[in-house]
Amino acid sequence: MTQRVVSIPPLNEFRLELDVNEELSIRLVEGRAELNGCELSLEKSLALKDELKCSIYTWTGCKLEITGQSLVEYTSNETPLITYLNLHLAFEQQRIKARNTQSDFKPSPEKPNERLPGYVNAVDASSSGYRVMVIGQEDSGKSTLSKTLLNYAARTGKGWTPIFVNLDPSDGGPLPPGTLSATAYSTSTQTTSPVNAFGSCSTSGAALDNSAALIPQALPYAHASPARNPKVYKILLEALARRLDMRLERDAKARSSGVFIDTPAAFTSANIGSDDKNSKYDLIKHALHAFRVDVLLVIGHEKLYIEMQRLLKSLDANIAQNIKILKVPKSGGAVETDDAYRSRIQAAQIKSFFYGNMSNISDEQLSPQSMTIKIDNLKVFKITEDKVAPSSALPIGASRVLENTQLERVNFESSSQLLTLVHSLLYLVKWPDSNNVLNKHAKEFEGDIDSKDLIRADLVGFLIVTAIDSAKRTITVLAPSPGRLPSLNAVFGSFEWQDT
Amino acid sequence: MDVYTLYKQQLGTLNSNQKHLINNLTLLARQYASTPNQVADAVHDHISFLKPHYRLPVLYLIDSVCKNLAQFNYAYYFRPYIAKDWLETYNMVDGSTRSKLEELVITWRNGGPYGSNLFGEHAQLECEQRLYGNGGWKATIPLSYGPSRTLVISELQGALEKRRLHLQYYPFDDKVKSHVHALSTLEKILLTTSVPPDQLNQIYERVKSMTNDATPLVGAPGAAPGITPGISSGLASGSPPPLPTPAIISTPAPAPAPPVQPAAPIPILASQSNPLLQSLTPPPPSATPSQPGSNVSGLLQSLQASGLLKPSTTSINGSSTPASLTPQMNTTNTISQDDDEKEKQYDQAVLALDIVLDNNDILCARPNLDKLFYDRLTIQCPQCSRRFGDTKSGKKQLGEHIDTHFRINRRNKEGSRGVTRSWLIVLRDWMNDVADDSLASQRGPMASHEDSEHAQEMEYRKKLESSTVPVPIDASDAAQLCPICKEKFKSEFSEEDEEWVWVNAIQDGDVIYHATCHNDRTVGAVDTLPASRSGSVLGKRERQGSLDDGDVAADTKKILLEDVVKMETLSRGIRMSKPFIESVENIPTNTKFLGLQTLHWKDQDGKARKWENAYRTTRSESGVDAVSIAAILKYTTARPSDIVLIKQYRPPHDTQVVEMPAGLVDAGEDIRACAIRELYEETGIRSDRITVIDETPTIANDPGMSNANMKNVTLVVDGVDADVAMPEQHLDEGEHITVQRVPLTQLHQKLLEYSEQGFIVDARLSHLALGLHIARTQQSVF
Repeated sequence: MTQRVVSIPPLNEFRLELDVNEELSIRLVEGRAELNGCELSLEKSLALKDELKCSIYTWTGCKLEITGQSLVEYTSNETPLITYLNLHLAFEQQRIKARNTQSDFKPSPEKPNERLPGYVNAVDASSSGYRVMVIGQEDSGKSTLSKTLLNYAARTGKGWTPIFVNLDPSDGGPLPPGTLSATAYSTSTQTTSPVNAFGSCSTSGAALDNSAALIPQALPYAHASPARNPKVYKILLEALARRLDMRLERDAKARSSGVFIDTPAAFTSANIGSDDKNSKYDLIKHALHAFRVDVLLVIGHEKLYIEMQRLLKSLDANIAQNIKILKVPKSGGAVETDDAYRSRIQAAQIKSFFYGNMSNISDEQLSPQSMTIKIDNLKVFKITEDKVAPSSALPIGASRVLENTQLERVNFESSSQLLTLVHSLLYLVKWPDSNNVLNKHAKEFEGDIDSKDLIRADLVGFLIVTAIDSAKRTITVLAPSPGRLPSLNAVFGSFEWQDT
Repeated sequence: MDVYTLYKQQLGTLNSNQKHLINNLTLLARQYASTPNQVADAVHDHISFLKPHYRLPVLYLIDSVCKNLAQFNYAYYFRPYIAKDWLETYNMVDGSTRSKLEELVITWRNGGPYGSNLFGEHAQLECEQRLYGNGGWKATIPLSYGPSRTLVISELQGALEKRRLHLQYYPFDDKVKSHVHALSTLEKILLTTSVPPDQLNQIYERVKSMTNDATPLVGAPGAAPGITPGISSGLASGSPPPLPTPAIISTPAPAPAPPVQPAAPIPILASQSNPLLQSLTPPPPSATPSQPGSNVSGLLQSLQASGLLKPSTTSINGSSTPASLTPQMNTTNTISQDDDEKEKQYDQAVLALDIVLDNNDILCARPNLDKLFYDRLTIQCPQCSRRFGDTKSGKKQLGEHIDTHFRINRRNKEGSRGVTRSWLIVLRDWMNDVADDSLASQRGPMASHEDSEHAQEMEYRKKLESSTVPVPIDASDAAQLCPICKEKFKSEFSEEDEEWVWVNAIQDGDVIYHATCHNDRTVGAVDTLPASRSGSVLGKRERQGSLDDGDVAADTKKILLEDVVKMETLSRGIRMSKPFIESVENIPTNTKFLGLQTLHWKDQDGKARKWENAYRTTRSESGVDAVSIAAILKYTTARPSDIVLIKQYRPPHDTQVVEMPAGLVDAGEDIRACAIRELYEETGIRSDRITVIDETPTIANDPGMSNANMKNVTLVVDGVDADVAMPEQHLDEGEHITVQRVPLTQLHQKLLEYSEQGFIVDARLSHLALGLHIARTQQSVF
C-alpha cells in the first residue's frame, strides 16, 4: 500500500481511474474538495472501488492523502466545473423564482411535508424549476454532469428536492438496470463506486440520509438499449413523464426544485426510434416533448449541437419557444469504457440491490430471501414488440396520447422453455386494483381486453431466478424482502445475474 | 378502500357521453363530499390515462360536479387540475369535440358563485389563452377567422346571465337592468336572424369588452360580508373560500337596500339609460324577429353612444394580472428572523447574478461564486460532509443529523441482521410522497397505503363499536333486535352516563341499529369493511352490504344508498368476474385434526367479503379427505340384497348416528383400496368377490361450514352366505360401532324408523335412501 499526499491547486481537479479489483482510499487533509459536486469531509477516509473513474475538484486548493493502487492518476487544470457552476447558479435563480411564485410554499420546520392545497398547475412554468436534459455520446460524461448538478442543488441547504430522471436502462441509477426511473433527492450523494453513484433505495433499516433511502418510481423496460425496442421505450418514457407530472402537481417543493434528466447514448444516434429517414433524433424529440424540457445540455459535440438547433423547427411550438439548447464542454477526464465494463457494473447493480453494497460501511449489508414458487402461479410476461401501434401515425407533439404496451404471458410449457428463465432478473409488476370489475371494464373499452398493459403497471420490485425444478415446475427466486410477494406478475427481459 | 380508490373505480363506468352515467357519478361525488380532494384527485388521475374520445364525458362530469355540488366547493379542488386536463384534451381531440370543449369553457366563466369564474381566473385564462391567444378572453386582439355564431351567442348569454344574477342581489341597479334588456334584445336578434360575419365580429367585440367592463361590477359590491367571489382571492389563498350559500341564488336576497356604492350614481345612470330603453322597448318580443339584420349595427351604435358599451379598445392593466405572477420575497415567521435574513441574503445574491443561459456566458469564470456553497452553511458535520447554517434551525438539524450518525454507528457495531431492501411503492403512494431527509433516518420499510388504510379501518371500527345508546325504558323496546343482523344488543352499565347502555349501537330516527351493521349498510354497499364482530358463529355469513332485507330509515342516506345500488346494478349488468379468495387468515386454535380460518374473498361484483370455516388438517396429497362406502351385499340365496350401515355415537350430536361406513383417506392411498380397507375395519367384511361399481368424483361435504370433501365408493360383495353372522370388526381404538344390514328395498322405511327411535340419520345416507325411494315409488316424476 503506497500512501502519498497530493496537492491540488485551486480550480484544478485530480483524476483517478481504478482497475478491476483495485481499491483506493482518499482522505482530505487540507482545504476543500468535492467529488461530482458532493463535498468531501476533512480527515475522513473515503473508499473508492468498482473501477471508479472520477475526479476530485477543488475551488480553493486542497491536499489529499491517497492510499492504494490506481491505474491512472493526475492533476488537470482543464475542467468544465466553472461551466457546471454557472449552470447550477442559473438553475438556482429559477428555483428561487419558482419558489417565490408559489405563494403558498411556506417551508415550516414543524411540518415540512404538509401537502398544500390550491397549489399551482404543473404546466405553469413560472412556478417550476428548470427541467434539464443532458445528451451526449457514450462516455461523454452525461451522468457525471447530471449528478453534479443534482448534488449542487441538494447541497445548497435551501431544502430543494430535485428529481433525477434516469432514462438510461443500461445503468439503473439507484435501481437495477433495465428500468426507467424518477427519484427525488434531498441530500447530495457521495460517489464511491459507479454501481451506486446515484445512491441506493430504501431498506427496512435506518439510513443516514436520503441518498441511502431513495424511493424511486420506475417502469420496466427490461433491456439495455432503447434501440432494441424503441417503440416500447418511447411509450414507457412518456408514461414516466406522466407519472412525474402527477407527483409534481402535488409536490410543490419538488416542482420548484427542477428535474434533471440523464439519457442513454442511443439518443445521439440519429436513426433510432423512427422508420422515417427524414425524422431524425426521434428519441430526443420524444423526450423533449414528454418531459417539457426547458434546458437541453449537449455535451462536447459540435455536430450534435447544430443538429439540435435544426431539430427545433420540428418541435411543437410551445416547446421550441421556451427551450434553451446549450453546448457544454466535454471533460478531458471522461474515460472510454467498453461493453465488458458496463456489464460488470450492471451485474454489480443487481447484486447491490439485493445484498447491499458490501464494502461500504455506511451502507447496509442486506439479507435477501430465497423462496420457491410454482411457475404456474407466477405469471411471467414479456413485452411484445409487434402489437405496438406505430407512433409515427400521430403528428409529433400534437398529442401526447399514451399508447398501450401489451404484455404477453409466457407459459413455459416445455421444460426447455422453462430453463431459459434461470438467472433471469424479473421485474415484479402490480396493476392497481386489477381484480376490480369496473377497472377491468374500463380497460376493455380502451381496447385492452385480455392482456395487461405495462404503462398502468407499478414496478414493485425485482426477483432473480436462482434455480429451476422442471419436473416439479417450481422456480427458486431471490426476493429482496421476506414475506408474501407484493405481486405474482413479473416481466422478464434480457438481464441475468448469477452469484459468482 | 378509501374514497379515492372507490371513486376511481366507479369512473370506469363513464365510458360514453350519457347523462345518467354522469348523474350517477355526480350523486356519488355528493356522497363523498366530505373528501372532495380525493374525488378530485381520482378524476384527474383517471383522465390523465384516458384516450381522447373518452375524455369529454369526464370533463362533463367535472363540470356537473362543480356546478351542481357548489355547496361542497368541489370547484376549488379541481382548480389545480382543470386547466391542464382541459388543455390536454383540447389538444388531442377533433374539431367537433373541440367546439364542445369551447362551449364548456365559456360556461365556466361565470359558473362559480356569484357569476365568478368557476375555477378561478387563473385557470380560466389559461384555457382561454388556447382559444384566443395571449391575454385570454380579456384580450382585444380580433380573431383572425372571426368568431362562430355559437361562440358569440354563448358569450352573450354568459354576459347576460351574469347580469341577471347581479340583479337578483341588487334588484334596483338600473344600469344593469338596462344592460340586461339590451343584451337580451341582441340575443333575440342573434337567435332569430342570420347576421353577416363582420357584424357578428362587431357584436362579439362589444360583448367581450362589456364582459370585461362588468367584471368589477359583480365583484365590487362585495355582497354579504365574508363572501368573496373567488376571482382574485381564491387562487392564492391557502384555505378554501367560504362556502357560498346556494339559497341566495334561488331566492332573491333580502335586498341589501339600494346599493350604497358611491361608484354607482343611480339617478344619472337611470336617465342615461332611459332614452335607450325607449328606443329599444317599443318592439315587443313578437316584433323582434322581423327586425332586419342591418339593425344590429345601429343597435350597437346606440349602445355605444349611450355609454353603456365602451369602444372595444379597453385594455387590461396590470391590476388584473394574477398576483401570483409577480415575484415577491416570500418569507414566513415560522423561522426566526436570523434565519430569514440569511436566506433572503442568499436568494438576493443568487438572483443578482448576471448569468445568462447562452453558450458563451456559461463558460465565463466568475470568481468567488463557490462561496455561495460555504458562506451561509458554516457548520459542517464532522462525520460526513453535510453542511448546516449557523442558525437556530440549522443547529437543530445538525443535532438530529448527528443523532442519526450515532444510531447507525451503534447498530453497525452490534451487527445489523435481517435488514432487507424494501419493495418499491406504487404510483399512488409515490406521487404523494415527499422527499425529506429528516424522514430518511426514521423511515422503516416503505409503508404502503394499503397497510395504513387497514389500520385506519380498524380504528374506525373500534370507534363504531364503542358507540352507545341508552337502553330503552319500555320493555318491548328493550327487547328489540338490530333490524339488520336480527341479533340482540349487548348491554353494559356505563359509569360515565350512570345508566345501562347498549354498546355498538346507534340510533337512526326511531330505530336502533348495531353501529357496525349500520355502517356496513350505508358505506358497505360500495365499500365493504371487514366486520369482525366477536362471537360470530362458525360458518356464519357476514352480513355485508346485503341490501335486500330490513327497512332503512328514510333519510338522505337511503337516497344515496339507492344511487349506489343503481351504480352497482349498472356495474353488475356490465360484467361479472370470477369470485376468488384473496387471502387466508388462520385462526389460532390448539386443535389437532381441525383448523379454523377466515377467508378474505371477493365476490362476483368484486366486493371484498369474509367467510369463516373449518378445515381438516389431515387432508392428504390426494386432496380428498374421506371416502364413504355404499356396500351392497348380494347373497347366495334368494334373500334380497342388503346395504351395510353402521351406528356410532357422534359427540357433536350427542347421540347415535346412522351412517354408511366411511373413513379418512391416508396419505398416498388409493381411494378404492381405502374403501375396501375401511369396510373391513368398520364392518369386518372381507371378500375376494368385491366389485367396485361406482366411484364418485370429489364431492363437497357441508360446503358452507368447511372445505371438507369426500368420494363415495359403491361396491358389491358377491356370494355372501345369508346364514353366516356378520364377521368381527377390526376397529381402531376408541371406535364403538354397530353394524347393521338393511335390505335396499326397505332402506327408506328403516331409516324413518331409526329416526323415531331417537337415532339421527346421516344426511348422505338419507339422500341415498330418498333417491331410491323416489325412484321406486314416484315413477311419474321422471
